[in-house]
Amino acid sequence: MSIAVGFWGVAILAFLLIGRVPVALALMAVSFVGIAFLVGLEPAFGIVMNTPYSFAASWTLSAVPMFLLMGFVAYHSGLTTGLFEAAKVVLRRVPGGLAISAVFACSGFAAASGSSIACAAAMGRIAIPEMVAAGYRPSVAAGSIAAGGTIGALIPPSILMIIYGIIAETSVIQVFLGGVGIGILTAISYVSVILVISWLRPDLIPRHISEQSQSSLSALLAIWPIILLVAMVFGGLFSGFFSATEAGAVGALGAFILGYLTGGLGWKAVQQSLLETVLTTSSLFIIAVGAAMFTRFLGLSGLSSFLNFAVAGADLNYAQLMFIVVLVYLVLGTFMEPFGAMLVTLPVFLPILKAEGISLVWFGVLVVKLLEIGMITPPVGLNVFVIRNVAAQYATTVQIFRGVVPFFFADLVVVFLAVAFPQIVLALAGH
Amino acid sequence: MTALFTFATRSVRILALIGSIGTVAMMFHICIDVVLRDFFRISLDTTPEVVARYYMVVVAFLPLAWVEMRHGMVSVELLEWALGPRGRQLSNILVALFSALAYGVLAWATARSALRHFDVGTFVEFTNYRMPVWHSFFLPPLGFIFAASVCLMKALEFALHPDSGQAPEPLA
Repeated sequence: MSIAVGFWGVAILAFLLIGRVPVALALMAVSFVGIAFLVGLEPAFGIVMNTPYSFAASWTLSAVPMFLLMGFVAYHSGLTTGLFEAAKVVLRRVPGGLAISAVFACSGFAAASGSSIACAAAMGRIAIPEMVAAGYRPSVAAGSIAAGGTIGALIPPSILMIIYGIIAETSVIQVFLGGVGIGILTAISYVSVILVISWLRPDLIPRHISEQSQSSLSALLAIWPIILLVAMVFGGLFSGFFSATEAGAVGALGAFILGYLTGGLGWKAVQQSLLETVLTTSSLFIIAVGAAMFTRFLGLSGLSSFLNFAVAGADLNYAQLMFIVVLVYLVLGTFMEPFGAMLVTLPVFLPILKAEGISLVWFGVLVVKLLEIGMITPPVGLNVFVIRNVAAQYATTVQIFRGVVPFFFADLVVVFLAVAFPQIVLALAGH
Repeated sequence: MTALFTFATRSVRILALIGSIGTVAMMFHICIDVVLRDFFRISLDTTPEVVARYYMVVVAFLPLAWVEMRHGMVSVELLEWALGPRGRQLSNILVALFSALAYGVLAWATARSALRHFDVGTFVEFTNYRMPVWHSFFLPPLGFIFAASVCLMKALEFALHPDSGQAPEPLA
């Protein structure tokens, strides 16, 4: 009986989500009604009374606003703008150098910001006009930046990974280290795609070598503030000098100071950074509160245990289980925003994976990678929409989706490698 | 009606501003703690509790109404394309009313919790003293009440002006 309520809850949740009800409120409504149905109205009120405060009042979770602030300040004060120029100068002799530079610049941007969308928007504005002017097919130019933007959520600090670490009760720092591995692998795969296209189809990505007046040294010197910021934050974090929260706070203050010293931090940039930080934090936390309630509901309904037994009874091997997980996330990613998709599914998947003895650090990295693929797949590919907004004169949404296709296949190869050889992720995480 | 909307917009912006101030205060508080601990061997043992119970609660709940006002809540836009203008208007109204109801329930439940904590004077105990934290339990209901009010206003706006879209207002 109670398992049936659990299934009904999941079905009603899907109905509400399709009906455009905000993810957070849909999760809360289903959990409240479901718990009231299962154990009574007063216990359901008890959960609604206590969960919002007890979830948000968390020291570990405070890493989220701090890293968000660091990223927004670094971006709005212009600390990240020199990354593309520097990569371009260093890679000027490589075929497809502009697109490869954009991918490397995305990786550098990712180390200062935890957001895939911010990464795509920032690089799209700078790189696409130059690439098109240099003879790149606009769809491929825009596609490479949309895909490159996904590295933003893979290389730490990653907001998705912090929230995953808290929900899964696993080490955020280890998930971060795993993220470095998969982020680098993703960047290598994108660079390989660009090189292959440049070699096979020079009409899409020209092979010619660009002339640069700036020297490599001066271009690299221009990005010293961002290198210093990243070295300070991650040096302190990975050496154990700071906790994740402290690293975020020191990074945010460092970004303010460096932004001020370099002259990029005006009042407008401060205002914009702070408002974007509170907007993003508040909208993420309320979903996480909903997910915490939904986890309680699934637990009370017995659905989590039922699915555990079902998976154990079905005697699925590792490959079959992973195939299901990958498929679920790829499908959800096509129409759901990453945070919503992650927080709706973790209450179902985590107990199963724990029971199967799968590393939750590795799974966290894989989930974030899978959700980021959803950022470039139709119909709801947020990075593609962002690129369309910042480079509307160059390519239509459909053209950008077409340009993303080779990078999507590269992503599938990365996912295959991460599933087949978990050590790629776990080696850096020290597992 | 316009005066009411203006008042609500200003109030919501003030709450977001308090959230922003909370974020900056949190950053400085944590940095001061790091410097004192690592360079002067002085430990501020209250930092994690102050961060968690005050700054975090401020940042999480007070800007909610502003998020709603900017249409910033995460939702699935799977069937957006299939709805005509009338269908979208009806959908917007229903979603706004549903959201107002959900925030209303949250506000009522968390307000009950806050009153209980007020009655018992909830505090956190340290070695030498007690830090009262009951005040911070009033922040979630405050955020939810304003969010519910904004959703009701949005429902009214969608009903009166079918063309009112979902475009967010400028950030600053």
